[in-house]
Amino acid sequence: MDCVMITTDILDSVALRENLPDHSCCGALVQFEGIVRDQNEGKKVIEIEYECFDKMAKKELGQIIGEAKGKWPIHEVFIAHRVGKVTVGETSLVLFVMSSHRREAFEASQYIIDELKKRVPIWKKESYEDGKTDWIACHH
Amino acid sequence: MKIKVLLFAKLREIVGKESVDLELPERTTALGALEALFEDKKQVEQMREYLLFAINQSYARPDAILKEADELALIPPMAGG
Repeated sequence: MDCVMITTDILDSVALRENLPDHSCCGALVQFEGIVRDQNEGKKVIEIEYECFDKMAKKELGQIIGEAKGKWPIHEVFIAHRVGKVTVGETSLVLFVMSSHRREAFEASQYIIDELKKRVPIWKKESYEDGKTDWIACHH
Repeated sequence: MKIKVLLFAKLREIVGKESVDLELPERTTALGALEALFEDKKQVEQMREYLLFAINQSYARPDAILKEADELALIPPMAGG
């Protein structure tokens, strides 16, 4: 069964992958991780604090998964998004997409991430080396 | 009618609250609720350029009409991932 998780816990993609159901028909598993990087637009980033409208985020993610399944023959989608403070090098997002063949898993993964950035009510506040903070609007 | 406005991210920090209860005339729109919350017209005009509205966890147009006990979320630019 597809799964959407929003958590303050550290995301361990190896452990999360072990919980995926067994789909013997799937020859492809695409895994994407979003990781907090140490710079943004020339500023040195220390950590990012994620905020989320939990109920609506889960609903939108569920809709996006439904759309992806309508567009591509994929069998399983798992999305985990971390909220709260996430430091540089830590994972903020884990996505798994399973399908029979690679092409649909790659394309569906791209679609899911692009739509997540546009529509899922999650925000991030970056903290910089100089002590300043800023709410970020994603244009990427 | 009474509605609840949910605030997030920068907007939550500006207002200093996660939510605000509003008493509004019947058939007030989502945009009308924003105007009731922020009296400064210039500030509302600026916010209209980037804010999205959601009523009861679904995206809604600014002219969507609110009902008693609706939950209106003001959604600043998102940045998940």
